[in-house]
Amino acid sequence: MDKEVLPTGATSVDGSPARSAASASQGRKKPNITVTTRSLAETGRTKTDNNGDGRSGRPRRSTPIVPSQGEKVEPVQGVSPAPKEKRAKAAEDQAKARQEVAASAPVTASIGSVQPVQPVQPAPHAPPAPVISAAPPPAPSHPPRPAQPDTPSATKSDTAERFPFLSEGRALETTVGEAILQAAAALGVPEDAVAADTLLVRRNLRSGQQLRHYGNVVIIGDVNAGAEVIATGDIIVVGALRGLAHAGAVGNDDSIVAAYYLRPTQLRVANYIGRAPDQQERNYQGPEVARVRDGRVVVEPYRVLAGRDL
Amino acid sequence: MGECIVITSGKGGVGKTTATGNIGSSLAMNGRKVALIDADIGLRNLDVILGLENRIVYDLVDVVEGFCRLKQALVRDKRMDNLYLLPAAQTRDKSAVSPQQMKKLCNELKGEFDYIIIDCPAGIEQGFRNAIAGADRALVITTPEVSAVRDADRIVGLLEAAGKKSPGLVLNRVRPGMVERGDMLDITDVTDILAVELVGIIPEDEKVIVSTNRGEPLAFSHSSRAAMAYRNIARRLMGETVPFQQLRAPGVMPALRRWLVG
Repeated sequence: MDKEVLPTGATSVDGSPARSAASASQGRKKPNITVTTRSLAETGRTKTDNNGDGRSGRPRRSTPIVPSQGEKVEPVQGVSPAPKEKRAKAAEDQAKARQEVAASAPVTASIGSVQPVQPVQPAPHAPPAPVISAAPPPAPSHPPRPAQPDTPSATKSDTAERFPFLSEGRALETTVGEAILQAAAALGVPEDAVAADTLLVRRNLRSGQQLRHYGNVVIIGDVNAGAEVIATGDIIVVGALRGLAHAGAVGNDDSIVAAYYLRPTQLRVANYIGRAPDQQERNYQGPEVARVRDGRVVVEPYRVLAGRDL
Repeated sequence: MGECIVITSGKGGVGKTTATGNIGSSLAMNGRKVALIDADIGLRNLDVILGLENRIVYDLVDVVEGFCRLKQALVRDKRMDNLYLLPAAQTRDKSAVSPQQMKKLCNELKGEFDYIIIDCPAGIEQGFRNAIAGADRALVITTPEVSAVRDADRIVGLLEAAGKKSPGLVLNRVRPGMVERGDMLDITDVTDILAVELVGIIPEDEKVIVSTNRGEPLAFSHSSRAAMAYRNIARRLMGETVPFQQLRAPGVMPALRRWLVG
């Protein structure tokens, strides 16, 4: 069910419905993480406008590219139930999205603009900030996986199965993403700069909240136990990380997780899983970095090496 | 074929999760193969009480939605090989699972395990309906407080309406001193109101808090009276006849007096 899948690169909100709705309407004016709880079929358009500021923002990597306010875009219809139809639909969307990217000058121009860090901070006078949290659950569009030998740690396909929205995101990279890259290439923007889609979050994530992002995530605040951060790129927490962090979620094992205070319940980098030791008494107080070395997730103190190490 | 037991209470904070962890551990100590299901989706705690929080990869919702196989989601206890936990999802809510799915899940587990213990969430809404769906019998846990007993009564009624066989009653956090002084509901007061079979009386014990915070089930403790009570409940569930333990611990002073007087 495409519609249930969070547009990749977008953060969604899953607070109480009333709250979400409020934040959605508010998001029309304020730069914010906005979300509607209505389904696509109802709204006839994509779910999330991450910019929400009315300007024609950067393209979100979703199918199709999220229409910014005032821009006329064909509404996306409800979801086709069968996978085959879905694929056909995806292809259609993809073609549409490409046209849009090609047609929309501001969109392509903004790719070339400065590092795309998103303004997600709620306005100071805003009512309670929207809860960054789980997307409406991706419905089981994937059939159960055929039986495999039982392995304690997740395999690569596990990752894809567990995060279908991300595997979808990966597929999108070759569709919408490709269009973005083409547009970027036309402007002479290096591919790396486009891929470095970084989300800046200035708030705490509490138990039960989940942040999923296609790209890197920087959180200025704490990630408490029971909260989850899942990103296809790096995760940096300027604060305490006590929950679960999954960096490189579609398989990039170069990804890192860095935090000022790194005490996660579990760390995942690409398809590697590390957990805190049962008798954990670590005295080290400084910032630390977790990464994959020799097939294991290791945590080491963060050292400034003029960008060589990180 | 195993037996599926749900531990429920209606009221929150009376010790459902603690009881689930400890009764499950006690059954496992007796050599039974046990699966604990945390049905409190969105407010999971059983993993913390068992100290398995950091081992969770998949959860109950992943299983029912088909993102993983049941075996992948079961977390083996770090102390015992025959105790498993099926954790709840934390980022979802009760509506992520339906009673039919729970029923199917329990039936699947019954083929593998001797006992399946379900930790029911507080309340009587969908979480409760999910939790009891697959259960063969129920343990209603209550404390000697009027509000908890009243909720337990409601739960017993709902269980009867759902066609479950008569539940067992566990009376938790009993303080013998207070009962003696008449400040707390007596055991007979509670059993008179609820009129169900009593399967356990657990005395108030500070060690419960220590053990839950440490993530080590109390059932392993040999010095705690509450641990003893949990182990006795497990034995009763296995069909043994175990007398209820004396609530009033023979304190130090009477023993001293006896020793001095001779």
